Amino acid sequence: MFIPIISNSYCDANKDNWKNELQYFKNSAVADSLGFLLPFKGELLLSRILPIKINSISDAEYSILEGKTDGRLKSIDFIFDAIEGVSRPLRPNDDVTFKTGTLLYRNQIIKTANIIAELLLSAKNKLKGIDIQSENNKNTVFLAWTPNDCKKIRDDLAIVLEKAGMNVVPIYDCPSKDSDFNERVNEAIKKSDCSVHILGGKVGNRQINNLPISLNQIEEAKKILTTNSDYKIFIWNNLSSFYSIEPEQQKIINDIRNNIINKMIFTNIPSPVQLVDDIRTMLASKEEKETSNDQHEVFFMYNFLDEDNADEIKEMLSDILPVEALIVGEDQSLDYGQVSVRLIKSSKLAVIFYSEAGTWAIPFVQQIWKMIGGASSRTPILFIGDKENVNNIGKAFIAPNVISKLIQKNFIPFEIKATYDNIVEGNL
Amino acid sequence: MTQIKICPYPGLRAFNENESLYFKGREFHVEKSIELLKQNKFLMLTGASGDGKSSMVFAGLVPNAKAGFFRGDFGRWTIVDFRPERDPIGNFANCLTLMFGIDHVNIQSALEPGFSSLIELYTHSSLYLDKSKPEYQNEDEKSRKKLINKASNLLIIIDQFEELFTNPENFFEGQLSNNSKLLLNLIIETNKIAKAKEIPLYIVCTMRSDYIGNCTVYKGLPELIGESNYFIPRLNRNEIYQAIEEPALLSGNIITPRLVERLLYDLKEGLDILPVLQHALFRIWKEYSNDGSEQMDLIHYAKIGGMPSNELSKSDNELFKEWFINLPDFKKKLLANPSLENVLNAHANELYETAHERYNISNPGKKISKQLSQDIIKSSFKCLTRLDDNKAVRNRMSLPEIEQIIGNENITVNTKVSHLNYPEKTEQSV
Repeated sequence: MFIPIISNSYCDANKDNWKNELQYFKNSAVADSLGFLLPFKGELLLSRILPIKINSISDAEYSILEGKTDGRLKSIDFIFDAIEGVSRPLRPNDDVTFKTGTLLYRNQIIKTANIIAELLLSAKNKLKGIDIQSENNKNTVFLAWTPNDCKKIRDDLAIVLEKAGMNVVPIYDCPSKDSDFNERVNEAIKKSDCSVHILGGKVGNRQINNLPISLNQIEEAKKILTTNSDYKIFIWNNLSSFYSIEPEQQKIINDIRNNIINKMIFTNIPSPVQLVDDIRTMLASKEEKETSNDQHEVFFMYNFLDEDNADEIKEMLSDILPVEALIVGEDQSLDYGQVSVRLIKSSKLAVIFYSEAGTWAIPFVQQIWKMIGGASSRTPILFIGDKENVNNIGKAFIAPNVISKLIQKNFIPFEIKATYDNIVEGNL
Repeated sequence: MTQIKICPYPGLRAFNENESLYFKGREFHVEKSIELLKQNKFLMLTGASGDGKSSMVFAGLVPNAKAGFFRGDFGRWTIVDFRPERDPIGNFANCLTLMFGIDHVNIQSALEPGFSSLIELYTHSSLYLDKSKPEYQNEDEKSRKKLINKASNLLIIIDQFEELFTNPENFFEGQLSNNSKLLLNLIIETNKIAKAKEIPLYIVCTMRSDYIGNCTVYKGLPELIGESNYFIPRLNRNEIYQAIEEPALLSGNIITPRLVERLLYDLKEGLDILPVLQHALFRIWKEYSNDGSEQMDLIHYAKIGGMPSNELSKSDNELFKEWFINLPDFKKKLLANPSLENVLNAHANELYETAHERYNISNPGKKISKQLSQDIIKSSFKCLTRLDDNKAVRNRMSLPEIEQIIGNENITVNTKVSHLNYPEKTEQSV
């Protein structure tokens, strides 16, 4: 690895340190067995040159630097912005007099150390032929870059996320060139499982694509939601950290809140630890995908106390329709709720029949209806009772997606067939 | 298929058994508590005030048992539930009277010896089936099934168990009354026998966790609780999200993600957040989203006093202003300091302001003044709440007792709580 300290006089191709250090390292790294770029957990590739910026540099200087390093230079900043536009290198003592909007020396050291450690690990793995991407099964969080007033909060949050077992990207400080910004945001979002955006009290001066950087990154993350249903966007509006909110920022916050869509989480949770705990919980609870390939026409359920009556119906029904059946209550070790839900979801019609077990049937259909999603379920339930049993008179379950009927036992198979036909013909 | 509009949010009161359909976000905890109950035949459900202990029992555990997801020995479940109030054994005996069809005096005297009394009442009743007896053994498979179906497991629920410690009739100067001691003896001894003889009799108690220390006053009770206590945790974000969104989806309504996020954002950490949230959802559903026909959104939340209108989108803010301008002045004032907590305050104040109008409509011959109606409400609320060791607790009083305190012979206090317009009135005394 090579770690150049970049001041505004560094980017001069005629200087010795440029020629004999940076250029020399670049040439030898390209040719050696490791190569100049190394695979990295959340990023695509990582350069073996890690620039530490101690002064803001001009776009022209930045381009020179980047041109010499295949456009993959990502830096860590050790810059203290005393007054806007005037900067000096960050010092350890600056942590003592920390002011919102400046960087913490301690955090920048931790960040640098983490990248060095990751680069060394990546180099070792490459030499041993280990595929780092397949080794890494942690969740990756895209932690959006922020205006100055939230930089420290972002750094603190990155550390908490790492401690909670998640990868954080981008690990570098925000690039000053807009094209780099766009490219790195998109690259990092694509590699992540969720994005986290911190909203502070200020809009900040920087705009990308005519949007403040916070808003720009939220919009970029929203694009992923259309293609990745598991992706989540967390927006952290940690107001307790700010004395005041600029009116313009308040307007942006209101706009964001009025345009929240599914999978976007807007939270004011007070501490980063609680936020990260929520993120971890929500990433762990990915929606259950329906993986069953088995498709059933009619799924017929009844209590074991009604076995005799149900057998007759099943027999008549199976002559005209393919039927899958479940006797509830016989096997104490079986989770009837889960089994029923799985089979109902893969059926065109679910039938719950009762005769003797009327006191069981109502609570059962209610719980099943809830478990399959009620009104939003794709499978209707036919809740059908034996009218000949006087104890069943008056029993019904009225709810969206449920057809509740009391019929003479002999006619029940025909009623099931008629309901099934209506579903197939799209009349229900 | 006809879509029936059912309000999926119960408001301030606990979910009841019929509303288990919309009881979401607690599935994991229901499952865990059932495991404990299955194993120990006893469960003490503890949690902070307003954390949904009663809902978890009546809308979680009971429907799961009845649906066959929690199986006892028999095909049916008989549920006996009561609150200790000021006469624990009397209240228990009342419920058993209905169940066993024996008169109250006889039930109470049957319970008085304690120990095996309750088990004997159950095992000698028609609810129980002794499978070792020839009446069962000699039957064929079909007849046995019928017998099993006819027999019933027994689940006894003692809700608000802390009333054993909050009411002076039950607990005075650190001492339990004899009446309370008898109830505790019955719980402990019944459980011992039920476990030893594998009798399907289960006992569930709910109690505010701040009273757990009081349980040490009765020998055997801490041990029993220690064996089978489930401390209901605060809902995590995901669970609260489910509790807000899924009831709407289940009932065929729509709630916008921005409203769900706003409600979650506005929930402050602390006690009683769930009832306040449920009340806000109920108000939105009932009053402003046309019984859920319109999708529930931020503008409805602003109309019930939950958020400032200037935080709405421009178009919604315009609609809000058009609506607001036609409100009477007292209603405008109620919306002056919007917040989630304000939703309940604004609604209560609105009812307080207009109680006399509603009373006078239903009692045209006995009109009362606004001042008198407000005095009655104040007195009634003072009767029904009190502080116990700096903790706000319910103070149970009967309607005649409250009427006596109010002291106006011409006034009959009825169930004013129903004016909150919940679909079913609360089970409170008043």
